[in-house]
Amino acid sequence: MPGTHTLVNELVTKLKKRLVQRGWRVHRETALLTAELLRSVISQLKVPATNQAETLIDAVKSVGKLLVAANPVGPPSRSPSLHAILDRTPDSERAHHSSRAGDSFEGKGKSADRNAESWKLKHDVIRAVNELIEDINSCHEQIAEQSVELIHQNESLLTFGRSRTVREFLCAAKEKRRSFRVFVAEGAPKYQGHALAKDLGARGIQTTVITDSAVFAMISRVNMVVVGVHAVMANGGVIGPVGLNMVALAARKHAVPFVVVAGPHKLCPLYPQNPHVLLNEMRCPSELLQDGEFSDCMGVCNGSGNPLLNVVNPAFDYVPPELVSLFITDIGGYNPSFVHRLISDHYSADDLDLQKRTTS
Amino acid sequence: MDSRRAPRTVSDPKVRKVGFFTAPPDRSLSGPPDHRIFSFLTSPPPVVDNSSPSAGNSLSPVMIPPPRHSSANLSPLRRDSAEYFPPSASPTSFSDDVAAAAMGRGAVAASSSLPGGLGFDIAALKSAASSVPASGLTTVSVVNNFPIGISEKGGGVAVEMQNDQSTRSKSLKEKTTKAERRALQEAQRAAKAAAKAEGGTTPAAASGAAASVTMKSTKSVKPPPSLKNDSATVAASEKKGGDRPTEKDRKKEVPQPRMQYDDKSRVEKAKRRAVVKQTEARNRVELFRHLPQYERGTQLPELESKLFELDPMHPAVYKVGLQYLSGDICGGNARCIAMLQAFQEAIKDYSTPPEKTLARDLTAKIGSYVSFLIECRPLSISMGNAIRFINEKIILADKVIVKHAVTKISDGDVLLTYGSSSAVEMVLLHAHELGKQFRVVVVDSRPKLEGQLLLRRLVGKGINCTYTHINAISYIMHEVTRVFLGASSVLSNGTVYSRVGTACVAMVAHSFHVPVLVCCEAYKFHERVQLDSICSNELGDPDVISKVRGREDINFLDGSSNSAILQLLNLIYDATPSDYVSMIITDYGMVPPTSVPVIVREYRREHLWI
Repeated sequence: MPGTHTLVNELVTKLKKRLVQRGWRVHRETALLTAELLRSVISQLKVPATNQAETLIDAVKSVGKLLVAANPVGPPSRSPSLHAILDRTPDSERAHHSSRAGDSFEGKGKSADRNAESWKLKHDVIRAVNELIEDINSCHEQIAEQSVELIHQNESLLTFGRSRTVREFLCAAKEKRRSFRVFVAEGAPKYQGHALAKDLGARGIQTTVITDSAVFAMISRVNMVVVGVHAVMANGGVIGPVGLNMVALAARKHAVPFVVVAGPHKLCPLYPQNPHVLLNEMRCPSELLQDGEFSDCMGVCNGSGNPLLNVVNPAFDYVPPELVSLFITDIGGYNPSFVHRLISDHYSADDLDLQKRTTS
Repeated sequence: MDSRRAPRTVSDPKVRKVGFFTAPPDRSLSGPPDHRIFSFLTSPPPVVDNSSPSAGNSLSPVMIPPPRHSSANLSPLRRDSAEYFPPSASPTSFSDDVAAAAMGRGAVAASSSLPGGLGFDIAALKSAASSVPASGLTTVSVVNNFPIGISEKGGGVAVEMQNDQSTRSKSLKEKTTKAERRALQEAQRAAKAAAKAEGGTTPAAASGAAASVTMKSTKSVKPPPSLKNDSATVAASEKKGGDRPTEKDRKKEVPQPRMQYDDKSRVEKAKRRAVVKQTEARNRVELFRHLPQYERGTQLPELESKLFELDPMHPAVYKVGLQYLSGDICGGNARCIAMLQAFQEAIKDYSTPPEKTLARDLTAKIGSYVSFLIECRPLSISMGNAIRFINEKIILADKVIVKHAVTKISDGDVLLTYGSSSAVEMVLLHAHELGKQFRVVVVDSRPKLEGQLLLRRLVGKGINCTYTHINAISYIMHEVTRVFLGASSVLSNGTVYSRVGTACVAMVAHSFHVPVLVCCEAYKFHERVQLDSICSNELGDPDVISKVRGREDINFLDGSSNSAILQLLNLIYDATPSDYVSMIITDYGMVPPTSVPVIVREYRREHLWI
């Protein structure tokens, strides 16, 4: 599959260089790219007569391993989408496999039939992938439709950082002529909140930009907190931009509902063990300290040669499920305790670990 | 005289060489006044330093004029002054002077068993004082106190108070009657010592006036020294005991600053040395020889020319000193307020030099400021109180806080602090000096990024530091063992009112079960209550939010700050609920947040009575 190799390598390089990071569609784009890649991989795959499903599964898994290896530390942003796609296809493949199991035996003798069957399997799988892509593309509209149930008149909302889902969510409410105002916390060190505020202002929503440190001060006057996240874990906890835990704690203290909007590509079947370390990423310290100003401090060492100054700049934050009030997905609103059901809809239990080569 | 002085708890006049005294050192020490130095730490001659307002001038001794002397002069002087004063009710200061002088004289008279004139003086005073506006108010009160003071030893304080007023007013008054005084003094001198009488012998009234003026001045000088002593004590450091002035005064009694009359060159020499050059008044009343008395109006040009030479002087303080000298600011309250405002600016601009500790350096600086102001004009009681307040409530309080807080730091600790608090910084530095092994996590936030300053200072001292921004506190809180926070104020319901973001830090620490210790001086406690950060806050400049320093790519919000639909909010303070705070470390000890209203109620009163 020379063609697919190129495509795979392309995506792998992109992920490695974090080129997919910019723009609104961080996760969606990743998911879409992955889906499209898989689609092309599958379509170009030469499926042998027997064990078609397994071949497909193996091919998809190998691609998946490559993609995850490209971004191992950032499973929150990558693997959910990958997993969603990878595991959806194996799911459908297995379904086909089981249904075809009997047929294949019958059709052994007919090569023409076999070809037709293999083609059908691939077709089905590709169709499943297409459905997935469509789901990802349309999740925003479906989520936004639910906003009118949650936002009423004269409300104040707080959001953190930037998320396209949240933007669509708020704009839909605005179109339904609900009057509300939004406080946007700027979200250091990326300061994406500025961009969101600008967009919301352009759409005519009353917006106020506040610093992250003022979140506790402002949250007493807020009716609801709406945020977008990077990933929704199997226990209902979320991985979000750094600082989200602080916002969630403040919301819990003031009994303000903490609503998470997430598309299906955000669901991740992993359970967060020590998420602060394992599911986190460190960003460049120069975002916090200007090197030029602190160059004299940077080199200072204590007696044993260890530097005296460390700069910590994590990228993600974990919010435990007890702080989340509600998940809004494209198929409705759910409790954090229900998330595991949603995940099992999308994922098959066998596919949780890409590394394990199941000798089935 | 001793009895009169006993109650005074002023610092050693030696230390305070501020003052209008130029002559005394000459006379007593028979040497040029070599103490026109800025600091009151040089122990000068028996000359009373404390009285005069000038900072460095060698103080002429606050001496009580020899009883014989004064009493001899007293009666005629008194009478004269009595006649002299009532007519001149125009300048406020004059009335003050009058009142003060009269009172001072009255005190002296009382002690010298001349009670007769006392009532007269007081009457004169009161009449004079009534016409005085703002500053007169103080005088009036002083007048009221005066009789009491006269009768008892304890009244020495009151006498001093009045005398201080009188000094102040006197200095202003001097401006108006300089020439007369000079003439009077000369005449007096001629009469007294048969020395060269420079001017013609003025009529008795003139001499009387002059004498009374000088007497007044000397009298007022005496009390002001005690006051100065207060302030000097406060400012210079709490070393001088209050009782020494008494001996000093006694000693200084003898060498009367008559230098100006005898030897003009000495005056010149003294003047040259002073930071604030004061021209000694020519005619000094015998009674008030111990008080500094300078001619007004001669210092300004020199001071202005020296504006740029006085490096240690903060421009705000310098400005206030000049205003004192020129008489732009007069009145106890106005002077006190101006002084405190200048100090406030100075403290705001103050940053600890790298090699020194905050408390000591700040004390020394404030001391030098105070001495300068004293040089310009004697401090009023209110200013002395204010300075003492500054010293006790802030600097000493910080020391006590540091002492308590370092007991809470043990080896292997990871301490987290937010922003830049002076109290917390002192605690950390002191603990490091004690040799404790700990790490510090400095949490910072926009837009002020104050943590960077603290970080630089800590790393410079060799403390192992980690720097992060406020969003990452959930990440870093796992490793933290204690959180130290500073406060702008602690309210009566235990709410800690401090820099915005403190509440977030305290909340996250609480959720991770990390103890939160707030270091706050007791003078910051307030009886107000506040539930959240919205009711009362301060808004900063919103434009600083749209720009991120050093990150030019973050420019989404350029130009949006003046749009109605898109607003920027820059809060300065926030309120941390008391349940997040484990303990508040104050100069009264380590207390839980629930004890704050107790301290506010019980201990604030005591402070007011100091």
